Amino acid sequence: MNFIKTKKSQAITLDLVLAMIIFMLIISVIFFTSEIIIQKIDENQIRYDLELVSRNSFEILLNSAGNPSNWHNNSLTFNSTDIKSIGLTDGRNSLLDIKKVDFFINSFDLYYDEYLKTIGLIGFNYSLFFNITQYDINYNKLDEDVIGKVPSSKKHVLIIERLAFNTLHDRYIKIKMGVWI
Amino acid sequence: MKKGMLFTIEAMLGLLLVILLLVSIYDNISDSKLPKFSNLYLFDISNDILVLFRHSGEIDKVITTKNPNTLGIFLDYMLPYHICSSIEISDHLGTESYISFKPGCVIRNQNVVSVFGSHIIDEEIYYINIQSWISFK
Repeated sequence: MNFIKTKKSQAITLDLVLAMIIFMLIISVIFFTSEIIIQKIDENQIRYDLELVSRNSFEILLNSAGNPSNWHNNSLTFNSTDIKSIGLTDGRNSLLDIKKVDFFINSFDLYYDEYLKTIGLIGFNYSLFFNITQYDINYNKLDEDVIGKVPSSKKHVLIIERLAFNTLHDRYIKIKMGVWI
Repeated sequence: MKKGMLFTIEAMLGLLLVILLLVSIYDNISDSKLPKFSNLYLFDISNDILVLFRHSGEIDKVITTKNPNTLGIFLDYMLPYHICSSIEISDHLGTESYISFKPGCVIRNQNVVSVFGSHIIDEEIYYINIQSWISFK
């Protein structure tokens, strides 16, 4: 009895402290790793959405004539049901109608929101830009146009480059499309 | 007095399993979508090249002059810097054959996408094989 009164026992032993430190360390590592994993999943999801949306939109632009095919006629308006889809071809895949390309370049910034909807970039806060370069048959650069909203800082940007041809004027057309959030 | 060991084998095994699990999850989700999209993109750009070659008269020029070098120049000018391509044109018997690469793109990695097409010149059918891959140079 005398011994118990004089000698006090230690509530937190060295082993327990050590165990707690290790436990906290493991919990921290797991928490940190899961944060990275969640962040990576989010990034992958954004990239996957961008890839899907960009490819589908580009396919419609380069492999269709649009609906109606004379959508570039000035009498048609975007805000009604006149224009259902935008296509730059003359009806054949990757063979572009230069009048549609010119109209697209000249009217894109003016009707930016309408183009975005018609191309199919709705639902998320997508932004879009195009870089369209035209070459003659000997690869001399004839013209280069940048239209739309180019990102000012480093964001989630996906740039796809495709090639097309205009048979009427024998022009190679290189189109870069950038979609970003 | 004998002290007990804090790290038992079971605890260490458990810890190891947790770490392995986290590493495998991280490894699995990182870049999992990239190969699929890059293949689709290579397929699209190869089809573009095929259409362009057919309609620009490049294939006719190669067969007439029997010189495929112009195709390499085309690929060099028109393709994005990170995309490599080769084009092979052969007649239906395989006796006449031309091949051209984008300059600096002879060595291929394993992920190559092929697109086949045909082209008729003077009632003679020619087969076109375009192969594209991503360059890591």
